[in-house]
Amino acid sequence: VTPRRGKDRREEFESLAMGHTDSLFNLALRMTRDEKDAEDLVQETLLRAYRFFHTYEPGTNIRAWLFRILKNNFINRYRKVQRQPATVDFAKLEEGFETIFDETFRRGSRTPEEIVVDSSYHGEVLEAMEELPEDYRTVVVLALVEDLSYKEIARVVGCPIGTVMSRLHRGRRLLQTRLAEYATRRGIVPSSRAASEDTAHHE
Amino acid sequence: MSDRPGHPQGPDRRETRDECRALHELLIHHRRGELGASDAGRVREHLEDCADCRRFDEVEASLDRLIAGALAAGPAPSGLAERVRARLDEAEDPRSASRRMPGWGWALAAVAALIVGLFLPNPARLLGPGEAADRGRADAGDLRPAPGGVQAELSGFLVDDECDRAGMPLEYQKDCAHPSHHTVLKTDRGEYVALVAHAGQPSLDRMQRGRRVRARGVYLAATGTLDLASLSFQ
Repeated sequence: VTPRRGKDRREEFESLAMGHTDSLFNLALRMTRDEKDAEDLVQETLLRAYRFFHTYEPGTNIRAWLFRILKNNFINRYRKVQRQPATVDFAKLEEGFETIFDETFRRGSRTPEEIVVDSSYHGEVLEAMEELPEDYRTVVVLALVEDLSYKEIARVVGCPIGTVMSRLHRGRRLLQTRLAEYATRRGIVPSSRAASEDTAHHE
Repeated sequence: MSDRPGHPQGPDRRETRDECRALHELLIHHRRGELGASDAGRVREHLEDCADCRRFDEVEASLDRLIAGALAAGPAPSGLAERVRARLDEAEDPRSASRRMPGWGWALAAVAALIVGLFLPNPARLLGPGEAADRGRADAGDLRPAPGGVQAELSGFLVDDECDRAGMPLEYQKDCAHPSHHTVLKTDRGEYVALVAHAGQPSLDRMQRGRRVRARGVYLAATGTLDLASLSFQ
């Protein structure tokens, strides 16, 4: 393969890579949790991507390639100084999950399909993301937002596919649990349970 | 299809619940088409038979859509793409200058090269012409203006750019298979230069890390790349 030179190279980079700035910024923001850091990270990522554009294999997923560079830049520059959230007790979360999920969503007074279109839940998702360690946040975004395959995610974050699956499972369990708790607080639960919760709150 | 509206009551109840719980963990992977044939078959069979799990699957899918909607990419800050483009323009400046003004573009590139060589700290600094003479041929950097940059001859070792910066000893760097680590030239002055190889030239892979090379080509200071004319192993 003959690497592209000069104007061709720049034009190709422009058409293939620059259109992904929003997605890159979104992932960077979830990783760094700081707009300024996220912006710096995206700039460094795109400049580095341009420098190594000759190593990009045409026809492969350019977003996955860019995310990999972004993740790598993040590890080098930000991870050491990042404040990591307190460890989540996933085992405990898993234990109570089926019950709260069942009571809230499967037997609740509003269907999840209705909840999906209620944007007041969005803030709850963003807050719950803050509780997750960076590795989990990254996998959740790459899978649910960017719709990358597990194989692609594994290459981006540099871990086995099994780890991707378990991070995605656990990360979603935390988000689902927090959404169920929020729905309960807003009274979107069966009346019997709402009444007992209400009493508990007033005691 | 023998539909079961809910979990059975009685002795089978706990066993069925455990089975359903185990299945719940697989549902997202099933929806994404990431399960192997045998697991996918098991999930399909169970779903056909269990109304509770079908409902669980639908609810989870809805929540995933909600989560994806909440985390979806909004627009990046205004001007971010433009700031990146400006930095890419800066990186390409010598190239565009020589195109626009072929008559004295080379002279401009020579001045740029001198500025780069004499004043700028790492990573853009190469050997200045005087220094090259002082240090002799073995590790000389040779700067001559050329279309799109400056002609340069650089000596050094092939390294893993990330691992080397992190301080990993050279002999271990060929073991790093991280997909976004690149094999680059670390010049004897300590700069990291990305080597752009062309058809017919040896391609660089991680197994060559640790080898000493002499690379010749057109160097673009702003991007830190050397468009290879030749690469010889020493």
